[in-house]
Amino acid sequence: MLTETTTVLPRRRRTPLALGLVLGLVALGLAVVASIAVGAKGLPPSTVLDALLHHDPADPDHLIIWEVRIPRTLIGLLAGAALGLAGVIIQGVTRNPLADPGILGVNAGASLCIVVAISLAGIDSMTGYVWFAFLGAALAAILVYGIGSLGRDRATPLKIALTGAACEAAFRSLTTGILVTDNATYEQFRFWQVGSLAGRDSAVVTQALPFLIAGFVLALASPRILNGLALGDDVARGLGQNVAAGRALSAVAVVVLCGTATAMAGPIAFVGLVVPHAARLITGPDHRWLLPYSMVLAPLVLLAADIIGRLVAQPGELQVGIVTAAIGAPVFIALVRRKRVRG
Amino acid sequence: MRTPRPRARGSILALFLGAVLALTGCGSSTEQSATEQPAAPASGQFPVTIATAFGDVTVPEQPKRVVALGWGDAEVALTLGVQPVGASDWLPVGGDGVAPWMPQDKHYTTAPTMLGTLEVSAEQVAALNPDLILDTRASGDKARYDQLAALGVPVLSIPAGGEAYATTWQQQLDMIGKALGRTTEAETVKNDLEAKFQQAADTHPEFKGKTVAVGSKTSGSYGAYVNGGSRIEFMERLGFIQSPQVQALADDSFSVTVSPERMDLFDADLTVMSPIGVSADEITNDPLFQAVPSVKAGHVVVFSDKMISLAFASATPLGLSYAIDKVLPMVTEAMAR
Repeated sequence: MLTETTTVLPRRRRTPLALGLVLGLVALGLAVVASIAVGAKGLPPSTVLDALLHHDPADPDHLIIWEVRIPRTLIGLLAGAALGLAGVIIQGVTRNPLADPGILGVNAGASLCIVVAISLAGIDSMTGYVWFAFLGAALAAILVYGIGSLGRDRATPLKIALTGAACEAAFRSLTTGILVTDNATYEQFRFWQVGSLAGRDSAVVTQALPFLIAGFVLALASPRILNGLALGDDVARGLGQNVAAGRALSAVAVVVLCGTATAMAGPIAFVGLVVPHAARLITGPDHRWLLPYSMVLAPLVLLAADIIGRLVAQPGELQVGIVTAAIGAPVFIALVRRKRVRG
Repeated sequence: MRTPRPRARGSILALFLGAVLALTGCGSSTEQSATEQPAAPASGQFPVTIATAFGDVTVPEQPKRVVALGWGDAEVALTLGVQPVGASDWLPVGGDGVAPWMPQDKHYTTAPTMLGTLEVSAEQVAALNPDLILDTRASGDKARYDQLAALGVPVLSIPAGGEAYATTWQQQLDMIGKALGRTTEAETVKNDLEAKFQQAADTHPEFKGKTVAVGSKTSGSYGAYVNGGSRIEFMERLGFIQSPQVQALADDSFSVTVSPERMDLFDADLTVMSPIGVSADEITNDPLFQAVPSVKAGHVVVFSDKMISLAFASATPLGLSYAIDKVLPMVTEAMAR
C-alpha cells in the first residue's frame, strides 16, 4: 500500500473517482433523509414533511422530528465526518494501517476527564461533558505526542504508537479505579461510555461547530503532507517537507476532530478505523481522494448504523456505538484478511 | 459525595416514622412464608433452614457477626435490631451507609466495615470473620455465590426461583428475619407496612383502578418499569394499576428502555418519573416529556428530591414507609389537578 503511493494520479482515474464521490454524496443525502424519516416511532411521510415545513411545537410528532431526529442526524453527520478524516490522518501519520484515534489515547483521555468531572465537580449533563471530553482528549494527545517526541529521533510512528498504547492503558486503569469506588459516577458515566447520537442536546452541535470547522480545514489541507509522510520520513524530507511540523499539524487535526466527535457522541469504535480502509479500496493510497471519500463515507456508515439501532430494539434503541462495533468488527476482519494490510 | 446527607431532617422524620408505625401497628398478615418450615421458629430456635436459589441454607445458631452485601440487606438487619459488622452502601448515602429514614435507635453503635456493592472482595469479607452472609437482593450470580460460600459460612443468596435484584421486600424481610432469629420482629415490620399501605389506599379511593406509568431517566435514556417491580407494587398498593401499554412491553427484565420518540408510552392517568444520576430538570424541561398528555394535564410526579426517589426505589420496609409519607401527598396533588 505504501510503496504504491504516488503524488500524481494518471488523468484517466480522476473522472471515475470524482463520479464516485458524487455518488457517495447522493447516498449520504439519502441517509440524511432516512435518518429524519425513520425511527422508533413510525411517522408517515406526510407528517414528517408537515413537521419540516410547518413546525407546530404543540404536536408531539413534530417535536420528535425537531427535538430528536434532526439533532441526532446533524451530530451523526458531523461526528462521522470528523471520525472518518481523523482515521485517515492517524493512519497516515503513524504509517500504521491498524491505527485509529484510540492510539493517541484520545478516547481514554476523554473518558478519564469526564469521570473526574462527574466525580469531583458533579457535572451531570451532556452539554457539560462536551468540554471535559474535549479537554481530556487534547491533554491525552499532547501527553502522548510529547512523550513520543522525547529522545534523539523525535516522534517516530513506532514511538507514538507505543506511548499511545501505554497511556491508553494507564488512563483506562485510572478511569476504572474511580468507577469501581464510586457507584454514583458509574451510573452516569456508563451511558456516555457507549457512543450514542441520541439524547444529545442540539446545544452540543453549536458548541462543537467552530472546532469541527477548524478540524475539517486542517484535515483537508493535509493530503500533501500525508502523501509525503507515507513515503517515509527520509523521502518526505527529500521532497522538501518539514516532517516534524507536518506530523505535529496532523496530530492537532486529529485531536480537534476526534476530541470533538468524542465529546459530541461519546467513544464510537471502528468508524475511524474501518472507513478509511473501505475508502482506500476505492481510491487507492492518494490522500487527496482518501480524505474526501472518508469524510463522506464515515457519516454515511454512522447514520446507517444509528438508523439500524433505532429500529432493532423497539420501543428502546440500541446505541450507535454498539451497532458500529457489531458491524465494524467483522468488516474489519474481512478487510484485513483480504487486503493483507501492510504496515 | 454529591448528596449531602440531611441529618436533621432524617431524625425528625425518624420520630415521625416511629409515631406512624406505632399508630398503625395493628395490621393483618395475609402472606405466608415461602419456605417449607411448618412454623417459623421463634428467636433462639436454631438451626433454621432457608430456601435460596442455590439450595437450602441452614443457619446452625443465632448469628453474631453478620455481613450484609445485598441491596437493602444491612438496612433490613438494622430494622430487625441486628447490626451487621460489614455492609454495602447500595443507596449512595455515604458515611456508614444508613439511609436517612432509619430511626436513630436503628443506627449503628459501631461503624461497620463498608464493602463494595457490585464487586465484593471475598478476602475483605473473610477478614470480618462472619457467621452469616446476607446477599438476598443481588445478582444471584453463581460465581459470586461460590466465592462467598467458599468461606464456609451460611450464605443467603437470592430466594429460590428469584431473579437478579428482584427480591421483594417481603421475601427479603422473611429470609433475613428467619436467619437472624427475629421472625416476630419481621412479622411486625411487615404488618405495619401493609397496614400503612392499606390506610393510604383507603383514604384515597380516587386512585382505585387508575392507570400509572412509572419510569426513570438516566443520562442516557428513558426507561419504563414493568413486571410488578417494587416501584410498580408501591403504586398498586395505593390502588393504581400498571399501564397496560407499558406492561405489554415487558420482557424478563424489570424495566425496558424507551426511545425518546416513544414518550407517548408514558401517557396514563398518572405519570411518575425518577431521575437517576440526572437532575429532575432534565425531565421536566424536556419538550418531549412535556408533550405527553398526562404530563401536559399535570397528572405527573417527578421526584426532584433524591431521598424521595431513593426511598421509592429502596424496596426496604422503612424506605417504603418513608416513601408513603412523601409520595402520597405528591400523588394526591397530581391526581387532583
